[in-house]
Formats: sequence, structure tokens, C-alpha cells
Amino acid sequence: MDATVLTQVLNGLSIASILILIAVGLAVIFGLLGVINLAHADLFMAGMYTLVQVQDVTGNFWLGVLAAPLVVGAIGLVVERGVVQWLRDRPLDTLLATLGVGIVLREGVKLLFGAGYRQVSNPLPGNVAVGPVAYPIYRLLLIAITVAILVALAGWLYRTTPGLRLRAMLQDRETAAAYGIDPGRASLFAFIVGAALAGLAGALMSPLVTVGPDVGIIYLARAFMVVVVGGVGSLLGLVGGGVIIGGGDTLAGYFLNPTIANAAVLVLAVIILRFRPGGLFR
Amino acid sequence: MSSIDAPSGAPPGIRVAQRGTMDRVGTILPHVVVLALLVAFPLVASSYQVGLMTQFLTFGLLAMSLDLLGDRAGLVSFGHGAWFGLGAYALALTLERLPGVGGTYLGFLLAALVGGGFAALLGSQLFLGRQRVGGVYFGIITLAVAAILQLVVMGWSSFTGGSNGLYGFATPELAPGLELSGTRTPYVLTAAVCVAIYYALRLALGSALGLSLLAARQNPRRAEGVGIPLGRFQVIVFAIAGAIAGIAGALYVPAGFVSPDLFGLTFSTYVIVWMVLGGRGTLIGGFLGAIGLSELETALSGSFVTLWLLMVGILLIVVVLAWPRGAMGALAAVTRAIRS
Repeated sequence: MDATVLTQVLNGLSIASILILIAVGLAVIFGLLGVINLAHADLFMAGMYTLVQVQDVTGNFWLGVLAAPLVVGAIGLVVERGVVQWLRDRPLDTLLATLGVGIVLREGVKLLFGAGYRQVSNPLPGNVAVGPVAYPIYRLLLIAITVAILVALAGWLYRTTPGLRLRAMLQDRETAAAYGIDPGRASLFAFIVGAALAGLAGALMSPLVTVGPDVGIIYLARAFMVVVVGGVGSLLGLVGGGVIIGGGDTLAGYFLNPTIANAAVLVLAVIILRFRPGGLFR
Repeated sequence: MSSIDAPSGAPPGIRVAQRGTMDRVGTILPHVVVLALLVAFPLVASSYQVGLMTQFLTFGLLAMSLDLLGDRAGLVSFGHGAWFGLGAYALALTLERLPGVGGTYLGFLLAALVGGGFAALLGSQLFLGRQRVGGVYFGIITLAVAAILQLVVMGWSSFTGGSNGLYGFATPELAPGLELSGTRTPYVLTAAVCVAIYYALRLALGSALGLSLLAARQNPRRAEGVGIPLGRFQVIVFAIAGAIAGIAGALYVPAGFVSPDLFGLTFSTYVIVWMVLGGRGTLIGGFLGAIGLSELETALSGSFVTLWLLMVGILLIVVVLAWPRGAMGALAAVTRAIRS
């Protein structure tokens, strides 16, 4: 394969996997609970700050990556018990309340750690040869981790009892409850998993961006587009959405200037929603 | 006496049979108070405060238009600031090319047309299709649309001034010699427009269109069953709300500066906070919420800003969870308690 083409393909894969990584927690919560979590971007940001703090103390990047999902999962537990569970029948109010949660997280981080920016150094600098192209190791690792997360999620949902319970609840909440599934506990579990994934994504993304309290907002609209374009409630849809948005970005970015490319991809997403409100892969 | 058809519980625009002088006074009094405050403010406040209040009034108008959309069409725009931004840029860009009275009126007209037209275009795509886009998706799409517009405004710097925004354009002029400069003239114009739009909306909400929309929001399927073209009405309300937001943005221009931050998610979040804390479904709640919260925020000095925002976030959660009708709902409850 031609080196330029291969580079672009790898770039597209890398961006798509990053988008999927950022959006997967959102997709889990939206797909399983029907809740759009507007605090997602700020949970993502909280993951970055967890990593920064742990790395400051221990000097180890990977310990931070382990700690982030635990800390952010715990935040998710508080948010679900304190806020989300009370708004089950008011979807619009869930949007508003999670918007409030996002503000609290953002401003809380500013109070605790200051509004300044941080840089996280890449734990795996250097390139590896992919055919004729030398490609950054860390980006290849992110692709692999994203695939691993998706496989693990699919296994959890379709091969384990807790996953079965969640799917039962998703199909028919009342019938599931009649069969002895506690919908409250299943919902809590799903929310914690979604939050923890947001935190993990934040930690893994931190070497690639400038860490600041407002960093999540930049990705929020993009993550939503990935989820809704692909279709809510299916992992395949999530992958499809990531590939379309990420691949589209790379392709358009190659021919157009980045601003127009960004705008063009988001316009494309709105058009897709116009004709397939349920998403493309449903 | 009024326990059956308590006017305070009725949505705006619904005329409930009034009985008794006390009820009538109780209904009219708040209007008199708010109008008197609007008139008295520039007479007693410093010129700096009047200038700030003019901005807050434009925010209030924006929150009012968002409430109109939320209350009557069941739609909450999470990128409503973008329509404000469109209006502001429409007037500022017009004044750059065509200073003077003509440019001012053309700019205001364009602000309303661009705001309303863009909403109508987007709304017709979302609400008239075979599968209508629902409230939650509408929230995400408006959020994304604001993000797109911000990217375009920041990127297209030859036209929009990019991330620096626009400044140094001609001062808007209402009549030869009557410039919208200083603080008093912009204040009077802005306050007058807010009052006019508020009462026009109240009238409109009591009309057949307003009542059909209310019915449609309460039970969409049944409303469509009796022949209310819900999708078309949603487009109309979205367009009206967009046009009002555009006008509010144009009224912001006499401040002398427009920036791409108007399209940012932070500003749109503020608009939602004003509406929710002020009280949804009242039109006036969002208006007063915007003014009250902006005043409070200004009163707290710079070092408290983060703490203030933290409190706003907590308040937003608490109000949505425990008191969905916001401050106006609380006020209505207090009034009812006093009366009975």
C-alpha cells in the first residue's frame, strides 16, 4: 500500500478509536438507561485530573490509568444515587440536572486544583514500523485498548448474567422486575460502568491534549454525534459512528482546511439524523 | 372564591375568569411593579449599572425565548446562545458595511430574519420528517449546531473577525442624531423591546395557536388525533423563538463588541440556568432569572466566581430535582398561601 494512503488510514483509525473511546461511556449510559449524560465530558475531565494527581504523587503514568476509572466510577455512583435515579420519568430534566452535575465537577476541579493547564508527557514516545510507515506507539496502543474495551463490553453484555439482567431491563423494565431483577441496582451498575469508562478515556487521552478544567467540552458535541449517528443501544452502532465521524474528519481534513472539515462532518451528522433519527445501524 | 380556577396556576396567556377585586389587583400588581422598576432603574442607578442592566435585559429576552420554546413546544435548546450570536453578528456585520440609520434598521431586520430563518430551516428538517425528532435529540442537535457555528465563526476570520470577534463598527443610529451610544438610549430601547415582546407573546399564547401547542405538549398523540399539525406548529414556535433570540442579540450590539463566545456552550448553559432557576413555563421567570443571577454574579467579586458557579451548578441540580417550577413557582406558592 502507498505510504501516504497508509498514513491516512492509520490516522483515520486512530481518530475513530479515540472518538469511540471518548464516547463509549456515554453510549453505555444512553443505551442501557436511556439517559443522556451531559456531565460525560466533565467525568472525562475528572479522569484526566485523577491521572495527573496520581502521577504527581507516584510518578507512574499507568497507576493513574488504573486509578482514573475507580475514582470516576465512584463519582458516577454518587451522581446516580443522588441525582439520576430520581429523574427516571423526566428525560428532559435528566439533561438539565446532569448539566448541573457537569458545572459542579468543572468548578469543583477549578477550586481544588486551580484553573491552570497541565501537560502530561507521553509514557510511550517513539514510533513503530507499520509496513513502510513509522507510526507513534501510543496511538497504536489506543487503537488496541479501544478494541479491547469493546470486546470486553460485548462479552459482559452478551455472555454474563449481569449483562443479561441489563438487557432484560432494557427490553421491559417491569417484566424484568417481576423476574426478580432489581432495576435500581442494574441501573446503578450501568451508570457506574459508563462513568468509569469516561474516566478511563480521560486518563488515556491526557498525553494527547492540554489538560484543563474545560477540556471535556471540546469533545462533548463530537462524542454525542458519534453515539447518535451510529444508533443508540448498539456497540456496532458506536463503532460505525466513530468510523464515520472520525474517518470523515480525516478524509475531509486531508482535502479541506480543518475548520471546514470539522464543520462539514458535524453538518453531515445532523443530516444523517434528519433521515435516520434512530441512527444508521439500527 | 378562586380556589377552583386559581389564575396563578394557569399558564401565561390562558385567560381564567376573574372574580373579585382582590384577585384582579393581585393579578395586575406584579406587572405594575416590574414595569415601575424598569422605568425607575435608569433614574436612580449609576450609568455603569444602567449599561450592565441593558446587557442583562438582552439576556432576559433570550431566556424568555428559550422558555417559549420549552413551554409550548416541549423543546429545550442546549445551544440557544448561538441564535443570540447570529443576531449580534448580523447587526455588527451590517453596521460595518452600512453605517447610519439605514444600516441599523436593516441590521435589526436581518438579525430577526437570520435567527428566525435558521430556526425554521433546522426545525423543518427536524419536525416535518416522517420520523419526528424528539425533545432529547433536539437538545443534542442544538448543542451540536452551536458547536458548528462557533467553529465556523472562529475559522472564517476574514468575514467574522475570527476569535477576536468584531469591534470598531459604526454605532447604531435609530434616527439621524439619535445614536445608541452611552447607556440611557440603549437601555430605553432594550427595555421597551422586552416589554413589547413579552406582552405580544402573552397575547399569542392565548390564541388558537398557543392553545393548540399547549394541548399538543400535554398529549401529542391525542392532539394530532384532533387534527393539530404538531410538527408545523413546532417549526413556527422554534422560528419565533429564534427570531426573538436574534433580536436580543442585536440589542446586545450597542455594547460595542461581539465575540464568538456567544456561540459557546458556556453561554448557552447560562441561558438554561436562568430559565430553570427563574421558573419554567412562565415566560417572565427566565427573564427575571437572567437579570437576577447576572446582577448577583457581578456583585460577587472576581475571586468568588468559581465558588459562585459551583453554587449555580448545585442550585440547578436541586431545583430540577426538588422544585421544577423554579423561583416563579415558589413565588406563586407563597402568594397562594398568603391569599387563602
